[in-house]
Amino acid sequence: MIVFDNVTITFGNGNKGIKDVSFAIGAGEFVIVEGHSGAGKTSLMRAVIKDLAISHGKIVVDGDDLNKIASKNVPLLRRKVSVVFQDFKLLMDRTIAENIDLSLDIIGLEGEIIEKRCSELLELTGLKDKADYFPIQLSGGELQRVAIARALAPQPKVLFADEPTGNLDARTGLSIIKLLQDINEQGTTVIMATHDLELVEGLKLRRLRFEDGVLVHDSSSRHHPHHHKDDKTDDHKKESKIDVEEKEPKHEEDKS
Amino acid sequence: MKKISLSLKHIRRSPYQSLAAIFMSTITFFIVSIFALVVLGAHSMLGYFESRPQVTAFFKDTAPTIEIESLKTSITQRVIVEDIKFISKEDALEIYKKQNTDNPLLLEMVTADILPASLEVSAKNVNDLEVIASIMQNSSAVEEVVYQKDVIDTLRKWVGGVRITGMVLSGLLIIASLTTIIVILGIKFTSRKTEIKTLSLLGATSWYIRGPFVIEGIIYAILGAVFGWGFAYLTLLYLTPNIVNFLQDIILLPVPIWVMFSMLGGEILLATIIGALASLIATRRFGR
Repeated sequence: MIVFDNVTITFGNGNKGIKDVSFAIGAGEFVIVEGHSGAGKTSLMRAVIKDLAISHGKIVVDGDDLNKIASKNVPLLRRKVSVVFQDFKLLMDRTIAENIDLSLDIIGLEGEIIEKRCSELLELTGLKDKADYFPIQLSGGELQRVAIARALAPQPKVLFADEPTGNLDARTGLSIIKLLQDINEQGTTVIMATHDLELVEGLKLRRLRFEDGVLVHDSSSRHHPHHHKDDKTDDHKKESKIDVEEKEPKHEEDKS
Repeated sequence: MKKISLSLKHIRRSPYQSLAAIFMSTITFFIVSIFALVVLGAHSMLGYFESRPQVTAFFKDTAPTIEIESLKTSITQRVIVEDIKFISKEDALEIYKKQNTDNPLLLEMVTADILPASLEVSAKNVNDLEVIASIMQNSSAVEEVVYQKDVIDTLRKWVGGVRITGMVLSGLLIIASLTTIIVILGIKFTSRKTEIKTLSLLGATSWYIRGPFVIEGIIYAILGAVFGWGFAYLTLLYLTPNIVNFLQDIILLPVPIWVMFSMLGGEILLATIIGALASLIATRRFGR
């Protein structure tokens, strides 16, 4: 689904966002991108939705080489890869339902379908009774759920959650992770970036660890770009699930 | 439809900025309409004079009838002459009476003796007036020759001048309107930068984001065109009695309704181009 091949991002001031990063994420995987602040997690997310240009290497998303994608097709890419932003990016002058409707309107859905889909998303994220609230009236955890609901609106193939537990207490954070897992169960590839290593410590999921823009550890070494020439196949999805299961004892060992 | 309602919402949310844009467009289209009407009127007036190429020779009081008859015969034989009409002193008095029926004092003071007899010659072409005038001038019976070539030339110069002035002034005002709409939409676009960035990150297309701004610019310009045209029309209707009185025989007014609506149609088209161009320029940074 997503392939990074020796990707480097260099900012205008010469600093590097990520350095020579290579990995592949298969369809239906749940991957945690972990690292401290400034490790390159957000740069990675921005590069995937072509909000940040890469200076070297190649990124392929769902078969499309982002270096070759025309600017008029970038909106289509962003509907395929939805992002839950660290700062939510909700429109404060619109209600929760209107924020979700916006995402559905963007993809060109009509009134009744928007209403139905919005209702489903509110149900999924447990916000049914908050539809007419404004963002300022909600708690951090609820805002995170709104951001997830909005990101899910275009039925993306990939959901990239950037620090979705960043400002939340452990219990709320875990409920968000549970929600993301439910979404993943339904077939959406989920990538979750976090600096909260403790919160995700016990989870049996594939991890990509970043330090100063460098990918220092991939808990699934088999996920190398060269092994995923046809990463859209169901076989790959199966392989991805096996990886998680295989990783489980390893993780337990790490803990001990 | 959604985009139009979103544009109207933007207009309602910043009424003063919207009013400034509409006001500037209204002034522009008012001036454009006024100059268009003046140029149209001047053209009609020019056509009136050109379709009536006429030379008038006024005879001396002492002019013998034989010389007058000789001049008439000599001019009638010319192929360039369309029509010839002799106006005796008595005929002149009748015309004078008709023109001054409202003023009995003037009628009492004038008799046929003090009015000159004249010969009115219509040419087939306005350019032949000079030839006819020179033949008449050479007759010893003629006191003075008046012909409209000078009037037409002067009128042509005036029409040319008005047209150039109108075009320059309208052009400058169109640029001013364009700039005003660009600045106002630019401010609105910049003030919604965060929202626009969010829309873009959510997968909105360029047209989804810029569309409401483009429609907003077109609405400003079209409202300005309708108001400007309306005010110009009201001004014209208000001034019609005075203009009719001034022009007397030249029938220019009332301006046919289809002319006015054609003008409105043209102005709405121009407004659409101005509004669309201005908003596309204002939002061009996003398009890059």
